Amino acid sequence: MDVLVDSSTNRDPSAKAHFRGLRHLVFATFGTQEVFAFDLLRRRVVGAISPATASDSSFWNTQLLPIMVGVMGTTVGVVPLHSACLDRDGEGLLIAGLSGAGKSTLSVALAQREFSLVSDDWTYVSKDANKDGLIASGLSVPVKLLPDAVQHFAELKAFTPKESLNGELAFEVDAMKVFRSQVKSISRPHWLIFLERDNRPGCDFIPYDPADARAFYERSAELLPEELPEAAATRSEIIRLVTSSKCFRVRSGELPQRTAEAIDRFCNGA
Amino acid sequence: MPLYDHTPYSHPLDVLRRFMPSPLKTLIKFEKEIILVETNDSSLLLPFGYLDSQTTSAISPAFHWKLLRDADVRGKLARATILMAGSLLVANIGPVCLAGMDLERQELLAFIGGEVDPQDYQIYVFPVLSGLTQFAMGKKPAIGIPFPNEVVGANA
Repeated sequence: MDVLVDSSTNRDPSAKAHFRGLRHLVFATFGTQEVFAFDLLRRRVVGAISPATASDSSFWNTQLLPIMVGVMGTTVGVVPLHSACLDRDGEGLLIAGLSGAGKSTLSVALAQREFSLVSDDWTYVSKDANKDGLIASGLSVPVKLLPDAVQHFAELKAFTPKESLNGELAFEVDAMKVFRSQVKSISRPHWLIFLERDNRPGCDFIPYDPADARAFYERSAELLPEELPEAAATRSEIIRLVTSSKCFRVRSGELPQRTAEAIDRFCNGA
Repeated sequence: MPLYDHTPYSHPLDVLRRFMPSPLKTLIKFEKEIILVETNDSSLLLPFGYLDSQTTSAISPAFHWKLLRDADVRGKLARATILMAGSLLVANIGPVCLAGMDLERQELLAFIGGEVDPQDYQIYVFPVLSGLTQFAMGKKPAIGIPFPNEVVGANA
């Protein structure tokens, strides 16, 4: 990674990150002058930023690092999956589901029980270099909750939703500080659930065919260019391994805390 | 009349716009080289002299340019900066114009914002794209912005 810290470059703190990609190149700009380019074929990054941005640890931790892992991870065997991840005694619970299913809200509710929070949104899965199996990692970024989450978590009343990186209005809070949750950086995928909202009361656990689970992840994965066949193959392999875990569909019409309670009981017995 | 589809491109699994269609293809002559240009907006081809179709049949282009008009991106051009890492040369003229030249693959990839008009394109953007290509040809770029040897000390 080559980063030019240029004193003639100005920071625009109000600017939103902007992304574009063509073939094996991806650009990320922050305002008019700050830019990063990612070469996915050669796994190189070049960027130019202002001294103010260079010295801002929050920029590196909450913006550039997630962007870099998201953009380049697949080329180095670290596959971003749009799933939350929680850990209990070293065993990971991945929560997948369509946008709006309530993954983040449920993650916080689980993290208020016996689970540690690894990630509420994107989990980065790779093969364990030393042992058989997989490692699921989070990036210790703030938990992102949509404004209506305030009805489930009174702790959020002290905060105001703000526009997040993808333009959504959301609370972005530190789970440790706000919810006193345990946080972990890694876990080992053990259970995989697909969360579905239901209008009917109750919380049902239905075994999910691994082939269907694999198809869900493949269908919802970012399109990759033909220049990156190895990355696409790596992603498919990781998805195959992840969906070899115990897979269930969880249909819930309950509040997040009640759903978390049911999942907690289920994991104890599964 | 330029051919340009102004419909904003959107695909839920292609947030980076990698697969934005670029149906227009032509060969153009740039200095002594032939370049295959692929684009979604014929106005981006205006600065070039086209080759007639009889000339082009047997030609193998030395460079490949992919120029995409990005209707969603609004705003003005900014001061150009050029960076280099390994075989990648990047020009940033603000979010409205991003270009990368892969020196090894001799491929130029660029997004040009919807509000960059033909005049600004010819005066500010095209010289930068040309400069990147001249650099890739091993020539000194004929534009007045610092190239990487002057901006980044080395390609670490």
